Amino acid sequence: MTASELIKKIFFLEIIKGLGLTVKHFVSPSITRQYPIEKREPVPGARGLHALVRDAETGKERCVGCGLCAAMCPSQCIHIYTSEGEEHQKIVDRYEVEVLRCVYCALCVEACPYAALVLTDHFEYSGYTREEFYYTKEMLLANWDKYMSGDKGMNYIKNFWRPRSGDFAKKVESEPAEKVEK
Amino acid sequence: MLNETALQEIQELKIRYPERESALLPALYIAQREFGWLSNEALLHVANVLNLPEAKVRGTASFYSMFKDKPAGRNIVQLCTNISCMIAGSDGLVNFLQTRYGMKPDETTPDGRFSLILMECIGACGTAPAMLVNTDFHENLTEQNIGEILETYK
Amino acid sequence: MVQLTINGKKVSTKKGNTILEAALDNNIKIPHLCHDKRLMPYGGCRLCIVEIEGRKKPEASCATFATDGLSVWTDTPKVIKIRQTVLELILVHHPLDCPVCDKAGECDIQDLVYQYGSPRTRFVAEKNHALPDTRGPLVELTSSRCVLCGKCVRLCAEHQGKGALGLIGRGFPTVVQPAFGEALECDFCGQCIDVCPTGALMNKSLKFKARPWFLEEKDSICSFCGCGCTLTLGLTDGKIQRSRGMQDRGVNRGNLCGRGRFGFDYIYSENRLRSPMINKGGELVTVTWDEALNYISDRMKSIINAHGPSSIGAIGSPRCTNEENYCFQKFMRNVVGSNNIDSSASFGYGLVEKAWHMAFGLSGHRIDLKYPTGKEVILAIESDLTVTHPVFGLNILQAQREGSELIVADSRETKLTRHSTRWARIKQGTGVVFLNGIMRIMMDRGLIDNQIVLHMKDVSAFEETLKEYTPSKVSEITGLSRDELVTITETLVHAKTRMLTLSIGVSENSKGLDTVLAATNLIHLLGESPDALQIPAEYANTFGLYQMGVRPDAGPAYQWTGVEGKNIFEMLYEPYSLKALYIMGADPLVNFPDKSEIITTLKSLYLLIVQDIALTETAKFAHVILPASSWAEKEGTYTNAEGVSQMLPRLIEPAGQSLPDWKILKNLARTMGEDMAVHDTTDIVREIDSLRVKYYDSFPMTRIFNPVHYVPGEEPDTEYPVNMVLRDVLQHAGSMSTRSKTLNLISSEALLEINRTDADRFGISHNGYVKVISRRGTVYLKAAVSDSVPDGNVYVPTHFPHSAVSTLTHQSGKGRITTEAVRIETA
Repeated sequence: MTASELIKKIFFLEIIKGLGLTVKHFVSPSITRQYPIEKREPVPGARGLHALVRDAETGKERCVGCGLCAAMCPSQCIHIYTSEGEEHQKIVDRYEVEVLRCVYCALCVEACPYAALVLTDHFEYSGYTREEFYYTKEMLLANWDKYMSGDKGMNYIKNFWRPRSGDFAKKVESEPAEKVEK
Repeated sequence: MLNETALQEIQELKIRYPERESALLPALYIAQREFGWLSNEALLHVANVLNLPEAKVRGTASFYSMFKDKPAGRNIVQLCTNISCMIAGSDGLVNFLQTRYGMKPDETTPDGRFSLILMECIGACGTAPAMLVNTDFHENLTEQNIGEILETYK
Repeated sequence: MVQLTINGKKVSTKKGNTILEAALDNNIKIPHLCHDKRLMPYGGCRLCIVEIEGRKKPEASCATFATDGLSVWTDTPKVIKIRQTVLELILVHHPLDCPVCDKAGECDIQDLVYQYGSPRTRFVAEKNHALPDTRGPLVELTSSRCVLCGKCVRLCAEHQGKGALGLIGRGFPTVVQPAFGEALECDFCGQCIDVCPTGALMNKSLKFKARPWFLEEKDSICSFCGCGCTLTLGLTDGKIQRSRGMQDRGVNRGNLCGRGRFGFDYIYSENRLRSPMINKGGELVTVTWDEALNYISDRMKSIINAHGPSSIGAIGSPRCTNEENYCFQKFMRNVVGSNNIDSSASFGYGLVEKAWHMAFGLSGHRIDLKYPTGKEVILAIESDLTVTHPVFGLNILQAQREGSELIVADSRETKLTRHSTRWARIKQGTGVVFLNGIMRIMMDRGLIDNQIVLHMKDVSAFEETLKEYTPSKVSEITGLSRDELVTITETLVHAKTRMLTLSIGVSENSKGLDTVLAATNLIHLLGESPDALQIPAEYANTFGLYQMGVRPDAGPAYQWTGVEGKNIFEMLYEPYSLKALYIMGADPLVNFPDKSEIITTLKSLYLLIVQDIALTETAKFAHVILPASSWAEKEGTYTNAEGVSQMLPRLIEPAGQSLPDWKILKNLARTMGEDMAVHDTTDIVREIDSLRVKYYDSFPMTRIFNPVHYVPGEEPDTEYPVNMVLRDVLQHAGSMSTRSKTLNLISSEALLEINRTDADRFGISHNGYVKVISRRGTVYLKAAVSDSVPDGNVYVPTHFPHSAVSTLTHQSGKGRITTEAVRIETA
């Protein structure tokens, strides 16, 4: 044991150092919150409860029932049932998410070619039965109205999950089309 | 319905080729000669005579521009509008034909005298503009001589 | 064999193969859209382009023959660049509606673009916005998605021999559609759906129901005709959603007919039986299994005690598996103690077996689906195999395309006659005369095979019987000119390889045992091997059922049982001959002739047990109804007409309380205090196998002439002036398929096909209802005026329960020709 070590032991230098850190944190501002009294604003793009995007123009879901989300889902919690409509279009009869099975990886959102599905930043939900967490199409659309109202939803899609369908669904601009014709 | 001689001709064609399909083009040509154009009834008739699927007959007839799918005039005017003829003024000729004879592209004049078809290149770029009337070839067309030429077709 | 090098790897292939085929045979992938093995090279899509060393330009491998010493490179940068450009061009007008296109996931274009394409395109043009053609019942045509590879058009014309679709127009506006843009009206085989590389041709019954990646695909065997095709069934949530053929899979090599592709949905019919029922005072009451089995057991025991076991009869089913039919006959022979067991095969395949045994001393007549290939002459007698056995029919058509002489002797125009090289238009039911006429000419001209015939002892007697079939008499009866008969005879005699074929079954009445015997005689005279006679067993397991001993004269694997039991004619057409009848999976009132006679018999019974998957017409007369599981709901094997046993896997849950037939029989035996010693299907299989080793194929071949004379069916007279011939329709096999919703969209009632002359004579209009009266009954049918049938004859199918055609028909009891004389009036 060297002299300096002896001195450290005699004068409790290590302990004083430790206590000093504690005292410092007594006076420094706190980084924990008093949840649920004190709530933090979720970061943009947080993955919470699911919602189906309601199209502003038609007032209906944007989803066309392509099933890519369900195909991609690692926990297989999405169930889609489609049928043929009056005008031979594809109709999404049921779109259901077993929320309790979801692992919030957002692969479904990434897979969606029409940006029809989002994970809202709402994360506080609880219940007494499993059935409560079996979200139907109507419930998921209501989630959109509730948690993604205003510009919030569109900003979310624009900033995080720009769908690839934008690349091919684009209408042909008038100028090049004319060139081609002639 | 095709008349006896035409049917006889088609029967002879059938024997000439090892495959029935091979007789289709000449048979359609005979039908067009008899009826003037190939109506759906005419195509069905040819299909029955040759014992070929209707879809095959219609497909063939609709592929070749020489087969008419609507009634045509007595004289068929085919004017070239490809690049050489266009530069030499075929657009003007199209307008001229419309004002003078009332001929519109792909249509027949009300008196049934002319049908106008705008053609792709007929290989007369050096002497453009050029046209075919029925099977006769005319070149170096101007608004003056085109009228004279057409007057010879009644 | 040709040796060539592909990508530096030495491969060999059959002479005459293209480079693409050589590559595919050797597991080298070359992308292609317009190539199909079954079709002629086309070279339309240009995706299969490859570089060949020593040639200036890249060439389409699907249209270039593989020759010795070629060195081919399939994936050079140049080739890849060309393919990318081709795909870019294909996508110029192709709508990228993959999210709503049902093809997405198994779409060839999608896969190729994923492999080669860049998502951006240099060519900008308006997408094709054509709306889907939703008019047809089963096939939806979305021309906007079409890439004009022409595979459907060529398959329909070349392979199916139909030509319902065409490439109409030129350049960009070209579309695939029926000739004049009308709704698709064809055979509805749906083969075009399988070959379409995009979503242009789609199965309408699957539309928007399931995405391909959610479909769990399993192979099973088709339950309709005797071909035994492999169906690749797609399931979601435990329900069969679609059926398709996979290239090179099964005996059908991926070909399917409309029945196999669309008809499987009869197992989801509302008509399915879901629980046992007992007739209590004229009303069917749902009961438990225990009650039903005890009821049967009590009644059966008292009948056996009072009248002996021979008063109980049974009818087996060609729709049930081998194991079940085995159990059924075991139940009858061991538990009940009666040999009274028979099936619908007695009207069809049973006759073939009989003739086979009489003529050659053989048993177990089987066909080879590939037999037509390469035969010089194929003679079909009064049959349209493309209807009764579509996949066998396809092979016949293919043989004809490849150069076989196809001679069809038939009274009406059929697909087979349209593709024949010679159509001998004989009168209905005169096949025997036609064959006897041929044999007489052979005898007269000494065209017989002396080596074989002179060794047969009864030649002169046989020749004597042919004496009366002079060409002029034959010509008078069949309506065939003498010259034609001579030409056919000569073609047949001078050919090196031949095949004789016909179909025979309970749903046809213009052929009988006589026709088959006449055909065997011809085989003798020609000196052909018995194999040249190809008569397919009619239904999915008719062959197997016969092997399993569901017949009165022999047990499983031809064991002689000592006492011959009552056959189907004695059981069904002799009222009061039985006290109890156990019918498993058969509907005699619809499929068998002479409905009223059968009703009398059924009413005379003390106990009628009907065990079926649906509430059939016969079941309505039953005292007890037992619900059975369908082919998709149980395990087992079907033996097809080739004699090949194929596994049926259990795919879905049984409907309601239904049980597999063998389980019902096992439980019933136990209720009656007997043990069948079966616990599961493997027990039964083991038992069957042990029998087979002992008895199978142990007959020596002999050759015997069986002279036959022409016995016509009911002759028309002034009161009943028209001949009625029973013929199958393409969309149905038996009566079970009439419970399929999709098949009913195409064919839902029996149409009376009548010639224009007759229609005018009786004042009948197309699609108008007519009253058909025979000596036995009256039915109302819809008329179809058609040029393809001869005058003086009408053609009707029997499949449809509500059309009740069997009211009109009769049976001969001896497997004779039973065409009917009928009168037709406007309704």
